[in-house]
Amino acid sequence: MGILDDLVRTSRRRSPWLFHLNAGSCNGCDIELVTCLTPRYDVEQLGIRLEGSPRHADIIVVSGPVTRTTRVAVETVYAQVPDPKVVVALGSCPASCNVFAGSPTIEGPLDRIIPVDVYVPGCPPRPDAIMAGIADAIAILAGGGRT
Amino acid sequence: MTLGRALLQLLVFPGLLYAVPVAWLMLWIERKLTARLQGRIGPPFYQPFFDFVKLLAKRPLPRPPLQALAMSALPVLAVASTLGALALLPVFPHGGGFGGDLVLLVALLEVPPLCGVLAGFVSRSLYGELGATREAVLSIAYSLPFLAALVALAAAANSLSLSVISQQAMWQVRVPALIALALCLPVKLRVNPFSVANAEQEIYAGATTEFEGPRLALWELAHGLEWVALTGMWAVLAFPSADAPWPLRASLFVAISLLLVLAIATVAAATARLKLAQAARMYWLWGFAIGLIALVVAMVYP
Amino acid sequence: MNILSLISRNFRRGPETLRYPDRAVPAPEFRGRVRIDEAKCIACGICDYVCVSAAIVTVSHDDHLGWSYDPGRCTFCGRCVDHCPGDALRQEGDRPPTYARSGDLRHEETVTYPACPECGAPARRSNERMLALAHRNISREFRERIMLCDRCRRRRSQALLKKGFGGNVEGERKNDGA
Repeated sequence: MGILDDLVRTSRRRSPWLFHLNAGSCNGCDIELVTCLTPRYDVEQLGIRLEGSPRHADIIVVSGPVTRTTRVAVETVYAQVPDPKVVVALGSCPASCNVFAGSPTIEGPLDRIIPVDVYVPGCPPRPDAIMAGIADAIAILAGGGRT
Repeated sequence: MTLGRALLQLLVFPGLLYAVPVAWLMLWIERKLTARLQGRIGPPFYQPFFDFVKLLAKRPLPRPPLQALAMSALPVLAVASTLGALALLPVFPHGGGFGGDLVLLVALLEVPPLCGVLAGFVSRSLYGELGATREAVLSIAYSLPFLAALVALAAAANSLSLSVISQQAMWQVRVPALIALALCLPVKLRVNPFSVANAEQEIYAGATTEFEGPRLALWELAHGLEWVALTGMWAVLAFPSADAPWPLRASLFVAISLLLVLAIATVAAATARLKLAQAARMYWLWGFAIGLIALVVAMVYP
Repeated sequence: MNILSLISRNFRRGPETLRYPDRAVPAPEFRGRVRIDEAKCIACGICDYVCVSAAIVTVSHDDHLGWSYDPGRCTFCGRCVDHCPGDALRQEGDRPPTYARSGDLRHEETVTYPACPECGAPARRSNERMLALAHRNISREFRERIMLCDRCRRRRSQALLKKGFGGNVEGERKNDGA
């Protein structure tokens, strides 16, 4: 039904819940991400909540170049997030491993392990760049997300 | 209480039709006030409604059958028992209650925390068990002042009927009992300073860690309905206006509930989280002391 | 300040939030994406050498340098800008955009070598800063010589050498095989 679909689409757009996963990041991107929760940027004005459990989330934000020990965690958490879900690669590490490319303990860019929808470049990205990336992810989510 | 009256109170006011939107309103007020006190904007007005619909539209992952049944049944039970507790509240006293409905109210209000504890264990997750254990310890702790206050009120009014208690308990007992009850509200609602049971940064999401989609939507709804039921219970026990016309009684009920929400939200925004031992000790000492005062006064006064 | 006055002050003061999508303007020193000015580039490849994350890759061809840059790999450290002898690189003052597929922001530029004043062939030439780094005394003749292409420069150096031995250069057999 049209109106029900519109309602579902609107509610997905207005209520995106985040889960943040650190896949071996240096914490720079993580710090900039939680800066978005501070009063100056306040992502809650868009209805975004940083959730504690991947099962509660719609958007998975991954930082870090996926080390050997976090690879299993990334795969497990991705499987635990219920559909529809969107993956955001935060910073240049999940996009390309940045300075760590070629290292034997790095399992490679994030798209070798899980499908990625939005890339936010930066080392680390500014909080408003992160919010722009999350806004892109919300648009994908409201359009149906990836299954 | 006739069947028609019971259905009216269960489904319309202060039951389902009133409680669900007001639950969302109270959740929004709490988040908005917290945001304002922290210098933020906070969520827009319809946020809890959109959260609910979005969760309903998630496609949950399959689980083993018995676990799926238990995980679906527990939030439904929590919602149903909270609605039942709401239906018992004597907003309109004449013909709306029965002798002994205080006992039923207490029993119904005990079910949501119990469901929460069971949910943590049935989800077979370490974080669920941690959250459930903390919730269980806290529920033992706050039951002492909670029940002491209610027993004191019942003893003062010489009856176990809620409508009689809300009209006839004398203020010397009512004041300490209400203070004890107000002290128990933050922990039952899992807000600061007693939010250790669902401590987000420590134990992920606590008892609801493994719940997703529609089941989580029902848990959030149960949480919102607990806000309505507990603040409504406090509001109903706070004013003895038996001869006021029913619109005035209804608006007073709603107004006092919302004021209580503002007070609880302010305290929650202004305090930090107490550790489990600190919170439990606070209820066993101070909470019980105030409850004891209410009991003693109730025994002393004829 | 006691807690009650703190609560009332916070309540009265209101939010300090930037309402989305308003944003703060970055500081003038903000280091964004790297931009190349092909006119100033001398195709030395130092930016490729100092890049820590292989975001800049230079490929030398006969008549041009292929300069490719992927902001998705970049760490925005500014080493390339600091070390460029031609001052051809600078960083944008604002954030790079988000993108949907890996490598979407990568782009390639071409730096064509200027023509040799003598023969017109492509000649990769130096500039003042490189000269100052490499040599102590730079004569006017030397400056002319470095503008030439490899072959013309080698021929001129040979001619100078032979003149230094006191030979008659014009009468020499022209060996243009090389």
